[in-house]
Amino acid sequence: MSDPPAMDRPDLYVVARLLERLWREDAPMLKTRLQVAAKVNYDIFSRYLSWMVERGLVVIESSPDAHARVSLTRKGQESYLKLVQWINEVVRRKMPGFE
Amino acid sequence: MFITTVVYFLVLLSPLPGWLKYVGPLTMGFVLFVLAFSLRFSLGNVVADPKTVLYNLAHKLRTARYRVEEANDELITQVDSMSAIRIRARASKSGTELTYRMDGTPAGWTVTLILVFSGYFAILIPPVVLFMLRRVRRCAREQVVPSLVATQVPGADSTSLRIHKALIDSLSEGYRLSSEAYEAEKSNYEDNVIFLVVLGFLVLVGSAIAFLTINTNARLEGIPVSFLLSVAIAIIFTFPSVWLLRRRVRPRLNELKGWATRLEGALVQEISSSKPKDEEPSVFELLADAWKDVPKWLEVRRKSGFYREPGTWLLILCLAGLSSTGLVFAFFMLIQSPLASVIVGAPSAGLLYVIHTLYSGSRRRLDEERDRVFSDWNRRIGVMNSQMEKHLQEL
Repeated sequence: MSDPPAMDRPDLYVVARLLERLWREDAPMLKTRLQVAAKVNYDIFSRYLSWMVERGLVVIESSPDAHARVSLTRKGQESYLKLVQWINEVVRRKMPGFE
Repeated sequence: MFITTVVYFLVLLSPLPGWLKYVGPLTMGFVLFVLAFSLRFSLGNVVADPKTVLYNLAHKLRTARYRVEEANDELITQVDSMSAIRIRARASKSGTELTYRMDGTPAGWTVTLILVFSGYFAILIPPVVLFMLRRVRRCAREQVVPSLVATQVPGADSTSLRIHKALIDSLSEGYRLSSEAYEAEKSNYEDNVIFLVVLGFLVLVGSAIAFLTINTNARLEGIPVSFLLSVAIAIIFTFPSVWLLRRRVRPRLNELKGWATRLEGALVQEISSSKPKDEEPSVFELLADAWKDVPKWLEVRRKSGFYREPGTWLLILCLAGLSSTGLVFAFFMLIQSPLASVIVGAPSAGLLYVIHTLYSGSRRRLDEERDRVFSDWNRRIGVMNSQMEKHLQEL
């Protein structure tokens, strides 16, 4: 299968959705299940997945049952933490420069 | 406090003259009211800086599903529908000294202030205030103090735990803002329904008087007909107006309740660490969508002047009552004694100016607060969005 075309500007919501879904899993997640959680079609999902793999946010693992599984890397976890912390700081009015 | 209450009821049961029995308990009730809301109790010392202590304590209370508002050096936590606890953290030699005092929710303040101004019902202040204080002290003893033990443990949380904590804090704050907006809107709606029902009653009385006046010389059997017509007019006025009001307000109420329910559901799920279904929206999306509606929620709260500033509004109502009574007396005394009419009427008219000043002051404060909050909020959202986009580009 050829590599999906590269993405210029990823949608923040889709990236966050994928990161959050993977963060909640204790074990690597089936690609098909992750696609359901991403709520995008397979082509777009593949582009996002490639983009995230390139940046070291997730890794794709092949398993003996021939189903590809995706798991979150440490960088992916930290990246999601950053997004969540920004929201939290805004909500709790703790963002620098606003107090 | 207990002794004050005993003395209070002894005065009530004593053979003192009636006016003294009234003034005595009223004064004591007022003293008890002031004491209960201003006395500060100690929670102990914690070996950490105040900011860390308050942050950790807020998180613990949110995990226990309390609604927590963060002020400068304080946490305001709603204990129940009537009472709240204000926990203050001050730097001390050994770290942080924590104290608390009782506070009321808007509903709690409304009830207690109505009792304070209600004359003989002021005798109910001690039981109500003591009940609120008991709930607050129990919350301090059973929720806050055990949570303090956890705040003393320094050390870095894992990335995963930090994500979990940040999600709980954000969801809890979202739930607090949306549910407060819902309660304010509901309270506004109920006030308007009461107003329309009272107006309907006045229409009933007015039309009954009008029909009876017309029928002065009519036969006695005309009276029930007049009464029935008045009832019909009152119903024709009241029911459609309440229905129209309900139709206008209901979508807003449902929307606010929907947000509060969704955020509360997500909060409960996050606290229990249960996994969502694959097709469910992410918490991140829920929060990001919710923040777009926050200015609307703040606006709802701003519009509910009585809900936000119950003290000012009760004062306005009391003064309005005094002023209107004075003006009515002045009007009836005008023919018999013009001088007495002026003596009563002039201060009553003066009160109207005081009412106007109080109202416009309250309105100005709320408008300024709205403008400040809106511009602050929009700036924050803008900064957050650009930071997130930049973060994605730089990955």
